[in-house]
Amino acid sequence: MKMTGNLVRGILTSVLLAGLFLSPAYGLSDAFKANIYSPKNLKPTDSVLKVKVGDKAPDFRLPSLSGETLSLTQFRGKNVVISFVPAAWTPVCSDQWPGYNIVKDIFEERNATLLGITVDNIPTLFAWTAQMGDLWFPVLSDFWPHGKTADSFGVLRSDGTAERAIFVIDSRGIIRYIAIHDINLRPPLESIVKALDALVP
Amino acid sequence: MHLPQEGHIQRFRPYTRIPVMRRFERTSKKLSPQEGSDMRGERRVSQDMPQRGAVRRMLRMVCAMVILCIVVTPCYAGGADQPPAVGKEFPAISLTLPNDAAHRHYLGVTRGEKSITVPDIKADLAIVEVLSMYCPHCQAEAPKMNELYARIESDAALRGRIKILGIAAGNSPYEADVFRKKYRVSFPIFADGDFSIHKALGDVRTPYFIGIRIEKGNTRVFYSKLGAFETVNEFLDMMIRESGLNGKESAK
Repeated sequence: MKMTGNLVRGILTSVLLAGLFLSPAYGLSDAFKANIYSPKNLKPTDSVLKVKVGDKAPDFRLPSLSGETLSLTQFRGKNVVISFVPAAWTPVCSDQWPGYNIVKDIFEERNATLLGITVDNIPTLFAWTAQMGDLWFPVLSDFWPHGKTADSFGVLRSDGTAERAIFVIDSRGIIRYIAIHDINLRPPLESIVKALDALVP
Repeated sequence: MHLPQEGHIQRFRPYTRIPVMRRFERTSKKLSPQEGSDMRGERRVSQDMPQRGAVRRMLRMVCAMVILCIVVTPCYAGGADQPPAVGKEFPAISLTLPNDAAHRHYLGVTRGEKSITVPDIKADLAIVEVLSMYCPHCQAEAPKMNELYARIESDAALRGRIKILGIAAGNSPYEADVFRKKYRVSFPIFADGDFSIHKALGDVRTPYFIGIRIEKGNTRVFYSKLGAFETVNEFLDMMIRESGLNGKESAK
């Protein structure tokens, strides 16, 4: 019964793939209305890290939403959490930074600041983050040369977006924590808090 | 796949649909015996068995339709593809109870239960808000929700009869607690880290409000709507009116 076998295989494959593709749920905020593009389920990670814990973090100078150009070195003396997110106007990213926006105190209590980085250009970041309320942390554009900073950390994906990655850099500029998350899932906040708590002042 | 409300984002078409459709087109096409032999993985349709071939084609078509339905319909384990409908029962979701004594008292949990369902809650009316600490509108709505809670608790006619529950979609217990502490929320918020409750509620966008009438262990959804409400008084009046709570004695 070759036909039956094919059918059974077909059905099983369909169910498996359907489960695989349909399983992500984002609980997306209504703040973004119908403006979020769904990129479907993506390859969880798609780059090779170029840094490791204990390395000096690669410096960068990037334009921020507020109009200034910020460099990593100017934050020496403070712990820095870098949140790379893949792209503006996508489901998980849109529901990540708004959460960080209500926990400024958690960062401040740990002598830390947050830098949000995407490979989008400033006008796109402006329009997108306007839905999030006033963000207390700098949002940086790694648009040109495209993804140069993401690439220096080894988190630039083959399609030009960045990984959903968290780097914790201590007050001396040393990388102390790296988490490259599945691009389809939001990292739990407590993972960042634990990483900050592990830093010896 | 999710967010099935109006103005929904581009709906995802699984890749698996394409081969299935091709198979459907191939099998539903009338084939000559020569054409039949060209098809990879397909039984050759013999000239002397036209009826069997037709039956097989029909069978394959039905199976293809079944597969198509499985693929296209967002069918999760225990999930729903629509939000709770007005007039229907509220989905039988299990809520893991907080240890917090005040919250247990608020919900009317007197024994050592680990979890409850909505009809177990000691109330005539439950207002469920699906929220997230990552949702800007839920953050903005938080003070109004607190005001709603305070209005109910300060009214002897409503206190104990209307209970508010938050369900933090995709939030870990830590994250749900961050939201609760940040906005000093007095009503219980249940963390739904794996989105299982969120799925059972039809993958709604947040904030989403569901009004549930509880009578003699049965539930009836009377309000199910996406989006923040305008004013606390109007919302509360509407909840009382729509639920038919007004003038009725407590069932408990």
